[in-house]
Amino acid sequence: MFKHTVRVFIGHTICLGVAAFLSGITCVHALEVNYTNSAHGNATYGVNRSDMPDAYAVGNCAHCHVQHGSVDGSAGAVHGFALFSANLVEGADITYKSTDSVCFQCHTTSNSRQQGGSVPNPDYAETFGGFSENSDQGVLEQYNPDTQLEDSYHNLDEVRIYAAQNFAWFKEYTTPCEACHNPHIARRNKAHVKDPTYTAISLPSDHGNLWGDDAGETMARYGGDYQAPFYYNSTTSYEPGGLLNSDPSKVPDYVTFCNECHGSEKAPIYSTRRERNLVMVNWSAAGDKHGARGRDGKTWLREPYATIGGKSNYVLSCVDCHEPHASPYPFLMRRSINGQPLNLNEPGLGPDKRGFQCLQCHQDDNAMGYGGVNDWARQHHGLGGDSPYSGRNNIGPSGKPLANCDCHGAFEGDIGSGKNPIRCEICHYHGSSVPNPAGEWPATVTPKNGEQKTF
Amino acid sequence: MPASGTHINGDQRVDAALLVSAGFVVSVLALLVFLLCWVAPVHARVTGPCSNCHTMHYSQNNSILSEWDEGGPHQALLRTDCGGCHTGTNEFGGKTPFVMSDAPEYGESGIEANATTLAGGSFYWVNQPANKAVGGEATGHNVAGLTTADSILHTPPGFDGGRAAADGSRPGGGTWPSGQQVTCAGVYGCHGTHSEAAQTSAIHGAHHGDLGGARINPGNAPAAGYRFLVGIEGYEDPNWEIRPTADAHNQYKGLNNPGGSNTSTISSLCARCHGAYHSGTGNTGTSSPWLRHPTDYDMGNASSSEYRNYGGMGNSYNPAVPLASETVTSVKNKVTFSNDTIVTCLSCHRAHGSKYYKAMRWNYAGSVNGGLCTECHSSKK
Repeated sequence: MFKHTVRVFIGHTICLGVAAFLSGITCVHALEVNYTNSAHGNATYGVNRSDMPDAYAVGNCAHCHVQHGSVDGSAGAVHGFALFSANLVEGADITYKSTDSVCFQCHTTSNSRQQGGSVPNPDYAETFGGFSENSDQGVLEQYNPDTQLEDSYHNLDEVRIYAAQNFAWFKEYTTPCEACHNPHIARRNKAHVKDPTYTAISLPSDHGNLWGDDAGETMARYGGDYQAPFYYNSTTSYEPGGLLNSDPSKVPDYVTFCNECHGSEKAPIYSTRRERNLVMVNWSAAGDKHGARGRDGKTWLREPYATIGGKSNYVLSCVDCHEPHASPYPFLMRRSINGQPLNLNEPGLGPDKRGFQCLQCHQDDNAMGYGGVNDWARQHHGLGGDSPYSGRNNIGPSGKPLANCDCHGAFEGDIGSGKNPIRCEICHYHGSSVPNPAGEWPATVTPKNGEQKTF
Repeated sequence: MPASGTHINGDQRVDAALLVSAGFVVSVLALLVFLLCWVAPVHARVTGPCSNCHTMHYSQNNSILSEWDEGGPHQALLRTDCGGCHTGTNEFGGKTPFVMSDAPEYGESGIEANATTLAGGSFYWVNQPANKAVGGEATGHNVAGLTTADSILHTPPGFDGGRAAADGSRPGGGTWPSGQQVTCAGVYGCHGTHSEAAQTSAIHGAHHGDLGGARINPGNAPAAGYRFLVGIEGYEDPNWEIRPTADAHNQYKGLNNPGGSNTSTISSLCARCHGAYHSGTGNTGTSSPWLRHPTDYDMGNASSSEYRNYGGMGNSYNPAVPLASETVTSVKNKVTFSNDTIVTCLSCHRAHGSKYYKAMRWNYAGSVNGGLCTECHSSKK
């Protein structure tokens, strides 16, 4: 709040100063960060539980907090923070239900407690990317997706545990949704997708403030290295919301936001589904190439990333590829990336289909006019630059030239040999490099005669 | 025995007897008047002629006076009941606290310069039609004889068997019959003891024994308790908090003990009937996250919290959102967050009623952000 107070003070001071010398000029600054400017506290579309007496105004506290655990003498169960419903999420791999989080009681399209019975909150791919096909509209429904080959979600129980261990304000009964959202200040970004001052997120380390509503809290802080992806089914408009030009100042800095938990310097995050700690993310100049690290050779990209001349790097936003809540695909992959559906009519994004994620921005053989969709021979063989397994680098794990294709089929889970593809994630993931710091194959392959980041 | 040599016939004996009887009655009445009007303590709030409150026979020329309540005769030779005396329009400096009146002025929170209601508010709006969050049966306690019965709440919400007052008495003796309306005093009332069925008996001696000021260690006598509330401590504003300021207001007693069973705090009074909202396992809890809004909890416990903005710069006491203190020897005009920022039921509610839904001090239900909830929950504005 201090930051906000200072901001407002400075804003008003500037207003008064300008007004003193110039007439007819209106000073505009962001809305004050408070409840009545939030989505829940709006007098028109704010919280409005359908079973409450009509004495209560829309947006009133009582729609969420039952101060005495009773409405008109009814003796219901009492819950932490005097909430009208429980935050009972527990267990690592579950089907989510409305009692797992008080938020789910309303943020669902099925029997929502909000007047009208439905609160749609489409996923990021639809809300900001425009991809509305086959979309679950409710947050609760997104957490229980129609499973593709492998769905994924921000596991709320694990979020709860992690937040309780790392953020002092997070209490035993706090809903895990609050790790990212402060319900008392979160704004209705779904109705203002091009205006980050309507952001709905707060840094876990600064729960009392919004994140993304200030100029220094957008992707513009990366000095123009952020290029917004295409809006769905367009090559002339961009996220968020179909802007006519890529505008980093319209996108909250999700890199900083997500890395409050997922950053490489943060405490490990154990995934019960993966049965391991998650790979942590280093988006700095010393980290991933998808982050601030400069590219070390030529690569072959799709638009809008291909034609920008003179750029040594792009800094991607996490939500360019990942959903914040849940996905029918693994690793919270968005259903559409860079203006295209993710699976291109494939039934799913299984282990051999991960390339469909990559080809949204990288040219596969088909894009190069060389081969099929999700074939990657051209990228890896014979083009030089970042094409590693060509010419003198064309050495396999046996130490011999790769003419025998002995990389293919060498990995656990590979589907065959010969020209069958190697799963992208064998070599490409957050933090990956060659030689692999962990020492596993392909550590013996040194296409650049030294360490090379492969993500 | 007649005087020697004096003849007294039968008529004379009757006259003499009548004379003696009349003299006796006069003497008794004189003694009664003496006792009622002169022997009373110097600081007693009830002053003036006895006939202001009492009538000996509830008859004047074989009829009743227009200013008497038609429902008499009343106990303690009173000319009317509680509502009869305490109905009227309050003025600053008035001598009688009126809890019922015609169209009182409440303002926004009952403390404004034009307000004519007192600390407890008024029962007036309970009898008025409801319009959203203003007016209607849910705006105050539905007191028998003053207001209509509540059509929804047939027993006190949160009643958990009746918690004992300092004298051991419990509302309803521990049981509240469905449909029983609350009364001003007595078994189902707030003032006096719950052990007496008759309201006047329940507050026996209170009006004449009222001392005002700081009520500390009051024991079990109704007169000694804060506002005739048995066992309750507090500092009584001499003007019953009409148009209170930071310097002139009631000082409510509280303790930083949300799970406690102390019977001297103002919240413990409410807990006698609304116990489930006060304390105990599964009720409010003993720390955040609270299950129900806590009372008898010092906001000073939450260091560096939004509560520290209470009262604005300098943390002045805000009589619109009163907080209790552990010590009530005097009025506190600012708070220090050290056992003087204790949340009470009366921080949010008027004991008698207000014009707002659920007897809230301010228009809570009709406000998006809860209105003056933000006085403490300052980050939720």
